[in-house]
Amino acid sequence: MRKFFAQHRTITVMLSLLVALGLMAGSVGIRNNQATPTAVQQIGNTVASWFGGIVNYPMNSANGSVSSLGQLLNAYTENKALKRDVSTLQQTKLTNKTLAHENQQLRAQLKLTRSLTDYTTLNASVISRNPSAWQQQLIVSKGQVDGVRKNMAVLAGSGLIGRVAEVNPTTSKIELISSASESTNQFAVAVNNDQNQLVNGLITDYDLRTGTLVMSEVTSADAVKAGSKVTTNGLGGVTPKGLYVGKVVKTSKGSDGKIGRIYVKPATNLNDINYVTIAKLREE
Amino acid sequence: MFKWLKITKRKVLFVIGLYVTFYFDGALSANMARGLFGERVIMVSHLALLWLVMAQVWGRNAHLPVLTGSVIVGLGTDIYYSGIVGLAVFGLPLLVWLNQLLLSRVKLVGLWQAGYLLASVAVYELYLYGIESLLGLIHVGIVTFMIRIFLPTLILNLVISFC
Repeated sequence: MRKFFAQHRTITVMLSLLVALGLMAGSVGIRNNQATPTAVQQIGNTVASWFGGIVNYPMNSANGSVSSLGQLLNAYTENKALKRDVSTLQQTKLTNKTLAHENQQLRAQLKLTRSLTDYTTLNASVISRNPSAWQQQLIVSKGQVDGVRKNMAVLAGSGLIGRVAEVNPTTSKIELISSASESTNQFAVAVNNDQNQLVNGLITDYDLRTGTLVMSEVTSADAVKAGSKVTTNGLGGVTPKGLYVGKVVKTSKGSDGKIGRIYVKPATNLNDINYVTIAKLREE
Repeated sequence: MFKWLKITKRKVLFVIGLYVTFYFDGALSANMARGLFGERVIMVSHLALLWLVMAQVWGRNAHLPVLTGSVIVGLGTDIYYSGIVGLAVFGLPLLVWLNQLLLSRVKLVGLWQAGYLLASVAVYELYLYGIESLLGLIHVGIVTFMIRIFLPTLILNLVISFC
């Protein structure tokens, strides 16, 4: 046993551990404070994504084929439901067009050239996913050359799924809102309470046990109904306003009897994402 | 001469296997996310780690570049998958090095070999949990980790290793 843990071995391991901890802390610091990772990481990511195509492409294609087959089998039921929605769609489109035109006119009168709801979108496909229990990250096929920037909000399916955490020349890493990582940026959100007033708060955590997002730092003590829709409120100027986050499942009270936390079920199934939409606030 | 050719062929197979398992981990996580990252349990595949340990357990006489492979896979995992350099580039080579020391003293037979694979995955998962908690990157309790992540991950990797 003594020979196993020889002094020089122990010292080597301890020194290596210190160097590794330093590298990790440095990486996290660079990631949080800089717009792009180091040149070495960018080159590494680009090269790795090229070599990964040989394995990822057949797997993704096979998965796509299986999904398509499943959708084909559900086509009849889905078609019936869609036909019902189509009849109301035309009216909704017309109403939206009228409202958008009116909004444009009002903004012109107020000389508002930019609003929190103005954003452009960029679609990307999911290449790979981080095989980690803690960092729920997707690697997508668009990067810096396509206009992706760090901290852009990312949508998939019905709503918000996360934020761009790292941008490389041709790929990006999206950190999902279900990530247990403390370094995940928080989203400023809002929901209507029982008095139909807007309650602002922050998504600060993801509860692994219930599979819900935790909204805290709420600005109002009044009750919020289960089923209320939670959207981004645009505060901070990074995330566009009005992106659907999820529905309220339950609320919990703090020690003072007022609402402490609101639990939100995400709008999208975070484990069934093949394509994402990156939302960028429109600049003046 | 034929023995040399056989060892070279094993080295080439080892490198190809390492390349495939490295990317397969990510592809599997992306395409089977519904099953692996469920609401109640999270199962993480460690195909590349299993390949490295298998090479050490069953390919001892082939002089395979396992330590070099672990450094490259660790660096690739940190840069390509997580973006935090240092976690796998230290963890994987350390695990491989510890295995080399242990396996030089102990001879494993039968089911003990499968058990050893599982033990390697267990040690690596505990290492990841410990280091990320130490750095303040996560704040999940040990009980939640054990029930929802650690045990399901071991079960998944046990099934993979038998396959």
